[in-house]
Amino acid sequence: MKRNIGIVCEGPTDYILLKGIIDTITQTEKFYLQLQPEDDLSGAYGNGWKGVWKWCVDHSGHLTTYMNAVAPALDLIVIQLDGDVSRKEKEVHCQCGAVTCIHKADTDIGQDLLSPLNCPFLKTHDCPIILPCPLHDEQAAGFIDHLTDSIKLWLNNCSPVCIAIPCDSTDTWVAAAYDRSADVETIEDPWNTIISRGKTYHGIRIPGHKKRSAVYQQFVSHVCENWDFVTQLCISAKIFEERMEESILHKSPEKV
Amino acid sequence: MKINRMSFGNFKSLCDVSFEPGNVNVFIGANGSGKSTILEAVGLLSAAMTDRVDANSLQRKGIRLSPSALYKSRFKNLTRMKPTIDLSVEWDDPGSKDKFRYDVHLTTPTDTDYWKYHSEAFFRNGQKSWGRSNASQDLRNSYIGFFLLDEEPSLVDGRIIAHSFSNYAIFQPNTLTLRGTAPDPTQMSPIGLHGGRLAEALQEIIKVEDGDPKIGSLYLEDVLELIDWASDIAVDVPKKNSLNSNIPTTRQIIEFSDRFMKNAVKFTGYDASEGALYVLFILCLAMHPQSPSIFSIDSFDHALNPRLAKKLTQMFCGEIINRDKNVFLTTHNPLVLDGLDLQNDGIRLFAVDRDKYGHVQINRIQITKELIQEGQSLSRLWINGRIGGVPELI
Repeated sequence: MKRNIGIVCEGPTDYILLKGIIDTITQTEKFYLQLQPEDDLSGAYGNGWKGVWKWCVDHSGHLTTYMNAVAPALDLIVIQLDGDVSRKEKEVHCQCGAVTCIHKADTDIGQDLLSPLNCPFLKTHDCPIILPCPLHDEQAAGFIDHLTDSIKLWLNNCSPVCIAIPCDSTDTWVAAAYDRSADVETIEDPWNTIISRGKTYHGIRIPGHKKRSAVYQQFVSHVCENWDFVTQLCISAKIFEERMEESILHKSPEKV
Repeated sequence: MKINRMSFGNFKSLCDVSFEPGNVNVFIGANGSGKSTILEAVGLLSAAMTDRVDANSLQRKGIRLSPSALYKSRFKNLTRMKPTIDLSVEWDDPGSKDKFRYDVHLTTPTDTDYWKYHSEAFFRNGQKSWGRSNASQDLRNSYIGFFLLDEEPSLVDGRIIAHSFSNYAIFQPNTLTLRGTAPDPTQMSPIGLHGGRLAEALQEIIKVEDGDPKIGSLYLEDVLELIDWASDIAVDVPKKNSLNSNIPTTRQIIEFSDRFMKNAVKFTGYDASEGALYVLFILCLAMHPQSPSIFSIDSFDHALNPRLAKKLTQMFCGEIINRDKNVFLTTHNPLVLDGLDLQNDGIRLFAVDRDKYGHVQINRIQITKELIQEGQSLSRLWINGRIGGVPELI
């Protein structure tokens, strides 16, 4: 049966890669809809992890209604956030139990700070958040747990969603498919440190070292053909595969 | 060179209107609101400033030829018909601290094809420094513009803009011409007003730089982001295996490789999507070194999917700003607006509406903090009638 899947992701290249990977995992016919990034005059969502966060918060109260309201109605929403967000961004640790902050209390009593994304103290010395966060392991499994919980919190546990946390980013899965190095998930910023370091990457031109959809169109088939290696090398890929199978293959459409 | 203001009076539906353009100027409005007439008024001004005004010069610039009586405004509320069509442009030049203005007043043709110059004047910092008129003692040929011909030394500084205006034209590509199967009735170099000579123009800007294939200043991959079904674009001579021998063709043709097809399969411009040809046409106009530095495109969104129109608009604006060109565009596609970075003062959006008398009004749409806080896209604001430029009764 054909499934309709909405994708909420950090950027257009993530969307290209996720479509191919989901096809590879599930082996069934699907229709995809890119829900995020969606452009907006004010940058209300915008690209990147903040866009994903805002999208989740905005849709948390009415996800099922929203999924039925788009055409065709969606069976599942896949939400992607790169693992490096947990490693680098203070905002996503604001709600961790380890953080005590008077401004966080302001949020609780309904003052201006509706979201840590709007907190003016986060980028200043007044912010008590320390990275790495003592509550999360500084490795892929820790990032995945932390960001999965964060997304569920933002969505107020709405379902049905399937969460993908590629570590360190979706580029890691590309590098794993091409280079097959054992420690690939521990390499930070694989786009700059591996893929775009030279003018070409495994024969594919990377002009101007810039991320482009056209380049990812060429990566995606190789990643899909070598997906088994990617899941062996990357715990984040393996977990996403299991979650997708759980969401799509082992559930009837009614229950999904 | 920075054009500060353009003013038009008594020309078709432009009774008395002016606007302050930037580098990229997008006009939106209902059908029949006068958007294309604004592009034509700029064309008329460019012809008057740099050449002469007759059917030939107007046609070369892509201006629709009308019966002589219909060039002047004929509104019901005008009790006395004005004798002249009045055009004016104000500008600064980076090489000078002065501000310049050129005014021209034309009378429409009566017994010949030629429009007459009623008067012509050049101003520096508000002071008239040169002029000619029918009233002056120096009666010269009133069918020819003298702004470029007169040897008056004070004109030299002001003429730089005239050279930019001299190649002004209104481009309006059509699919058959882009495909190379129909000739372009207004062919010019490097590219015709309807898209003729696209393959040749494209070939002239395709190059390899430091091992990377580029189209103009863009990497090939940047262009392929717009034409996402293609994996390569090239220009070659027509071959039997790529073009049916019954199809009329040009000396050069554009060939696309389809990323879903086997490598040997090439599509020519005849078989490719018209959107792809249109994208290449727009990019050639923006980036070809011989393309006009001031030009218009009527119906910029022609044949484009809304999302492609938005992305192309973003890319086009970037190239125009980088080259300090001036373009005037009309569109009916809301997503074109979402491709405009209106926070950049060089990119300007204008709503074109008619007032109660039918006179064209041009209003610049600027982004206020309140609009940004609303979080609505420009396309939505337009569709909802929040920024003007929509039909009132539909």
